[in-house]
Amino acid sequence: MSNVFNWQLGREMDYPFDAAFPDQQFAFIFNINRCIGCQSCTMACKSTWTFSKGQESMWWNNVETKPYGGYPHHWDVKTLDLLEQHNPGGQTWSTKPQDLKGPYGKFNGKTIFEAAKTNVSPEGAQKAMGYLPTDEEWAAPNRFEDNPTGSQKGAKGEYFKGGEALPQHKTWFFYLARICNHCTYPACLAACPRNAIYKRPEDGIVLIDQERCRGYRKCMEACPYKKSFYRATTRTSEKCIGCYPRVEGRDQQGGGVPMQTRCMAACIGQIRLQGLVQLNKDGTWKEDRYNPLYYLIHVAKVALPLYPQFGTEPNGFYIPPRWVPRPYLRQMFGPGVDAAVEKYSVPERELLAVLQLFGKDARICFRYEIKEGPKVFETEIRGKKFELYDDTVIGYAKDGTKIVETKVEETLHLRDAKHANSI
Amino acid sequence: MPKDEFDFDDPMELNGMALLSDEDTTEPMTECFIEEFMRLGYNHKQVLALFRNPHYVGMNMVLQNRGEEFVKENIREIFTRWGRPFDSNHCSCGKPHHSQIASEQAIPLDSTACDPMGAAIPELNL
Repeated sequence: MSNVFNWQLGREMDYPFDAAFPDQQFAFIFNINRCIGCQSCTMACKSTWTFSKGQESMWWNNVETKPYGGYPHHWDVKTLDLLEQHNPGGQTWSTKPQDLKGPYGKFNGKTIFEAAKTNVSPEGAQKAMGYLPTDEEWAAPNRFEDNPTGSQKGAKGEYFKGGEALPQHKTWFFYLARICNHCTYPACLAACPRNAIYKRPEDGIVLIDQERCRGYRKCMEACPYKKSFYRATTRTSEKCIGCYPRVEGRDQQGGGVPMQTRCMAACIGQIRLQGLVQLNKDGTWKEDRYNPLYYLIHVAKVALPLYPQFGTEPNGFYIPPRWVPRPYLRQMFGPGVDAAVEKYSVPERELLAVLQLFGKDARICFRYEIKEGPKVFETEIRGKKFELYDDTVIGYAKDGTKIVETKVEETLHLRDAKHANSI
Repeated sequence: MPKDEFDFDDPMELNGMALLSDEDTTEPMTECFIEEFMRLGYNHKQVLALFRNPHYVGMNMVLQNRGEEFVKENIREIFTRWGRPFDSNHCSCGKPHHSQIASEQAIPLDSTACDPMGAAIPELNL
């Protein structure tokens, strides 16, 4: 085991390999407040990468209804439970933020790598504490999450009858879209007995070498997010590849500049923003003030990592849903939740403008600038002063090409009925 | 694989889920739905139409559980808070104003309209 620094935990932690960081890191932000669970992202991914034999129950991108659902079933509850068993009552945080090296404070509990040391089976200790989901747990994503299908056989062109007889959610829920987090300290990589999993030095995307993989499924067991999948037809494991040809700028649609992944670009709710961020030598994020991801994660701090306590330093971040009870959110996104929800609910001038960059262009935005516009409104929201400025935000691609220019008070354009489906 | 018939003895069917809180968060949830679509540029009629549309499960659930009056009241309040015109079709002054949905009658929306873009909604066989 090596000692590596995990900025999301604000401390060093054990990891089976020495720290090694890419030149740039693939990262993304999902705004849960906007997700309507339409599954456009899921289908964009499925139709691009996992439409072949043996990949039927494999969803590199999925959207699940929390707290009722999960793909595989109960993936997060099971890992949280394992950690609790190994460190009863100890999974806590000291919440004194320390800028880039611990923006959410310090985690006092055990990560999956630390808990694994005491999780010894006849095969020896695990590299990362985890469990292997059963086939049934993978089989039916979204089943009974919020679209009960009723008790009849389906018929072409008809909705199911009898759905109203099934229980409906009477209280809160939200949609959680998930892909591989391309973690800085991937548990899948740590657990692979064949060293078949690697993190690309150019963008930090985590890949499985299909030549080396022998399908031992140790990655599936170790990944706490359960984003590695077994394919029986090839007897190897597969996972999200971060649409790397697009990130490299090889998709001809992008004209040579890096593009966002298919799931990001297909999102009709404009909840997603993906980018590449610069790293310091110690793995913390290099100050890049006008990169939208850097701003949202390290300056405004409205976007938070998913289950940071697992310890893999995921590079997927979420703007937490405003209406969900805080204890649930704190468990899922760490102690930064209260400040993030507050900031998002009464957004500052710059935040309002930067949020407009979500879903506007398929090319990756590396830098933004804001042109100040007039103040159009001023009020008080829950005792806090709120001012609305109609600023213009401009986003630039890697080569400096302007890819988006939009205002805070964006006009909604409706396509006329005659051309409703034309591109 | 999914089966066509329910088997209530099957432990994989209808999993119960204990919630960390039984707090009713319908109000902040409604507020968030309205605000997000308003920020995307939807006017009050289009936002109300989303609540009426059963395909938007979360929003429609609010309308079913708390009634249309509750939804309209929230739309009124939030559009006022953000200084948005209530009816972009009828207002051309371009200035923030708060009075256009002062009464129930001020939402002149056809009671059957439930698609924000005006398209027909397929009938659900419920």
